[in-house]
Amino acid sequence: MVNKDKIPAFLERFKKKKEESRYTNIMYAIVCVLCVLGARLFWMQIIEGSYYKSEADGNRIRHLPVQAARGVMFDRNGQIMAGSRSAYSVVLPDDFKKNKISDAELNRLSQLIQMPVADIKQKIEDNKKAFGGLVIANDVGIDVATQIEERRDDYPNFIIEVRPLRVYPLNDAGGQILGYVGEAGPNDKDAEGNPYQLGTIIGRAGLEAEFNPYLEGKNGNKLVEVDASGRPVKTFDGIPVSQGHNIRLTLDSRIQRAAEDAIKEQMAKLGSTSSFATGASAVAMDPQTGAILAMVSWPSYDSNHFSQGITAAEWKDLINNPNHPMQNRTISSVYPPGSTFKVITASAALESHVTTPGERIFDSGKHWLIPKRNAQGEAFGWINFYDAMAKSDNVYFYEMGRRLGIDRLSAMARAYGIGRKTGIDLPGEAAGNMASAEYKKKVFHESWYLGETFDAAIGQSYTLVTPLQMAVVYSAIANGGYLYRPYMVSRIDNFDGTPLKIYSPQVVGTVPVSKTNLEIIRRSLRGVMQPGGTGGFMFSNYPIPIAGKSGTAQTHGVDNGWFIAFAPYDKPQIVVVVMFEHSGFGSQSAAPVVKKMMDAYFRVGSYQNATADTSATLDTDTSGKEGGQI
Amino acid sequence: MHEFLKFVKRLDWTLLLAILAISILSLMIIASATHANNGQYSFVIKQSVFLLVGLCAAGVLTYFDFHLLDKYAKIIYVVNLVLLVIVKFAGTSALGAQRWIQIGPFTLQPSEFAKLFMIICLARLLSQHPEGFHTWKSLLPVIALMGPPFVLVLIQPDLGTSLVFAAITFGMLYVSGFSMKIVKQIMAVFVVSLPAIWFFLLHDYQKMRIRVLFDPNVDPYGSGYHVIQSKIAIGSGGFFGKGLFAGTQSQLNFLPENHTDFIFSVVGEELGFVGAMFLLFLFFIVLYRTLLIARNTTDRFGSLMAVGIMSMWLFQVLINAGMTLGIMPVTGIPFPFMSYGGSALVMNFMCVGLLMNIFMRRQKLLFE
Repeated sequence: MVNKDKIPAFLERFKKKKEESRYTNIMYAIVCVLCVLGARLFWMQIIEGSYYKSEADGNRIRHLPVQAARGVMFDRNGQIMAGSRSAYSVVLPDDFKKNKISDAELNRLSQLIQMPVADIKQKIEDNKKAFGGLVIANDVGIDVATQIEERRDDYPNFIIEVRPLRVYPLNDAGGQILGYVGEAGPNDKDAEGNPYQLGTIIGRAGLEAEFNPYLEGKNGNKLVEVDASGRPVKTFDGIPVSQGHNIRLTLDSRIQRAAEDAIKEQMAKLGSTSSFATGASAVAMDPQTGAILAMVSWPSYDSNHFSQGITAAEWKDLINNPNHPMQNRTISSVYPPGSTFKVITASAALESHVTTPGERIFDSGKHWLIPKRNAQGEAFGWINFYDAMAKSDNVYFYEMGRRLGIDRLSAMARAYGIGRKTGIDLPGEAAGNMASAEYKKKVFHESWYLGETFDAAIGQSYTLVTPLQMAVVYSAIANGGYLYRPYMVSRIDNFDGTPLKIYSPQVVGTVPVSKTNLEIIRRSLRGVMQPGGTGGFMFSNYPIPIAGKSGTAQTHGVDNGWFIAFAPYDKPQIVVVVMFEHSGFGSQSAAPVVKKMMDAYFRVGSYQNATADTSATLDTDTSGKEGGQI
Repeated sequence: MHEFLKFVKRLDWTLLLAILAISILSLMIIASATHANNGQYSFVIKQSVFLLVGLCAAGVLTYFDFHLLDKYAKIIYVVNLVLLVIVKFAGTSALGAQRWIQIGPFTLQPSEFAKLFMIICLARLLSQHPEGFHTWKSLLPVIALMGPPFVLVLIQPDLGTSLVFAAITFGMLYVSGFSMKIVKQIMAVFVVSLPAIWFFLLHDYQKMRIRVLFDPNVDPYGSGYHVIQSKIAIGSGGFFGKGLFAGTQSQLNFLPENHTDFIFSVVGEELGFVGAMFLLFLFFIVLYRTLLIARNTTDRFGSLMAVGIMSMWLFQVLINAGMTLGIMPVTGIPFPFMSYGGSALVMNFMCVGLLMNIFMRRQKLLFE
């Protein structure tokens, strides 16, 4: 283009001119400017090119975490107890946490998700250092999700992610047993001791916590090319997610629900009679295996509230509730067993031959050595073992206690597992305590009195048990003396449905009571449920032959009411323990709940045609394939 | 017809071809930056129309004898001031500045034309003082001439364009025999008054732009954003570039203003080092030929105009490309012939026409 031999000629002519040097200088200036620009281009594009290339990729490639869905918990019939469904979350992506978000954007978001600006700011501030995208609002409606996605320029810093949301179809009937999930905090560590990625959902209580290592899946991610306003343009494959293991529970959702409904109904009834009942517990167990069929603790909470994101106020309400809804009363609370303990006293007495089933003892209404009386002040006259059990006579068992002494009584109770954790696969189990001379000496530095033996023989004194321990005791009586470890998880599945782990029934001990004596005790418990027995009012006409024991346990306040039953009497399949806290009315508050649970199990009464049902809206397989940004 | 052929033959084809090559490159890059591959043709079509208008304007300015401008300089000067005043009081504002006049569907940016008008007027003034400028007093007429339009543009506010005025003035004074002693004195005054300029004259946003020059990360999502994204765009282009329509920074809109002020970044990203250097080479030809025209013209008025045009283009390339490369502060100065914008393109082609005019009449004897 430029005639090459013209340049020197041009410069030659410059020299002759007066302004020669000035044009030359301008020429230098042109060359100098263009060389500076060229050198800068060379530096940036050739020397530092790879740095800028990675910066450009960092701009456009976003690593979107894809949260793995937690494993599903099924009951024994395949009904879903805890599942997941896809939910839209408003998320501040990890890359954007350092951004300064305009007040206008925050105000818009605050309006949209109905959350005060201050709360949003606080949330962002609190999680600035954590790794991973920050969920601002969980499970927002499709309308909110589309608003944010369609008006990207109004919400440049926030994205919508589809995340699996934990769902509990039984609502508060699952409560403390299933537990709940929540976002991992900075102090939570995974199985390898590493901190969790922000927003990872982990089990916080109940089975969710106990089996978290199996239930939690492995989060993955996907790579998305986005434009400057964060709209996705293209998607690349990233790390695939793997879903958590599914877990099969021994629970039967029908009985679980029946128990929950019956307790609620009974609480309402008690409430109308100005009872001060503060809680209740119910547990059903297969006496031949130790499998838990149902477990309810009342008051309970709805685990769904936690997955959806519980507010500080709701949380405060829960933990400050004087009736402690967070407590799983069935395994974590201890109560005096009251008359339900009499089976242990009976075991010790029969086994030690201090009495025979036929021996008759005179009940004048009080014991002849220490004037301790029957609960309602009754006097039954001459009674044998069967009468004493059926009518829950105290004087008879005071005498048994006297003949045995506290040591033999304590030993038998310990043999039944009192004072020791049952080993159930749930967190937070209490051990309880068995009254004994050593205990009193150790704790109160006092010696033992006979009156205390009387109390211990009828399940008072220092003896404290969990409702679950009583289920184990009555299972042993029902099954011929085997102590089973209660369990709730029967198997953990691999992703293809094959079992990863199977939990079989586990005998942890046998009670030192002969088959014959156990048969005698069982027969006595059958009598309880017949006309004239303390349970006859409810069970004398029950279509299934049933046996059991009532109990009214004295506390510092109003009595606790117990009712324990197993059925069928000749070949027990189920043991049910129900306990009402400070309900008054003795066993009468607990018995209707036992009956409803038995009804549900044997499909009698109103449960004749009941079929199991679980909400059909759940995804049983939320492996996260459809997760991520919409 | 024969006359016309003779006329066409006498044009400076080297300059013209370089300009046309830049213009075609510009259309390609604007097409890419405005997503023409997604069916958004409006920017490309508009710019093509402006290009045709510019070529016509260039033709008109080539045809008549440029000495006529000498006669009309006073009128041009008044028209220029009137336009700039209209902008101030009736203009439309965008991006925080009031720079445009709405005329029907078009927006006119008088400050662009003001550059050419001031080159003409200043060339006339300087050509009447062949003795040069060796004292401060001799500069007074220059200051009186350039002062009003300079101030009018500065208060739009358009610091960039007023700096272009300064560059034009300096370049033209320089070849007019501007005393180096005065240059040194001006430099000294400038350096001494730097703190005062920083604290009293510059707006906060302008100060931030200068701070950003040294460290874009002081305001990565505000003033620094453009520079950061532009540097990423150019740097990531590498040697051969990512290809037209394939630059992630511009196609995914990380790079704002990528068809106007930051068009050079798109060149760097999509055409790479090769493309950007080719563009700079074309500009070297343009500037070199313009300087040659200035040098070879016996007519002082024409020579000065050519120098003025050359100074304007050189300064704008330096500031604009320097800005995209992060070595110059961010100002709204367009890249000549490259940036999208009708006023600038038409004005630049008017300059081309004028240069052709001067080129053809460089020796009075050759003509007529």
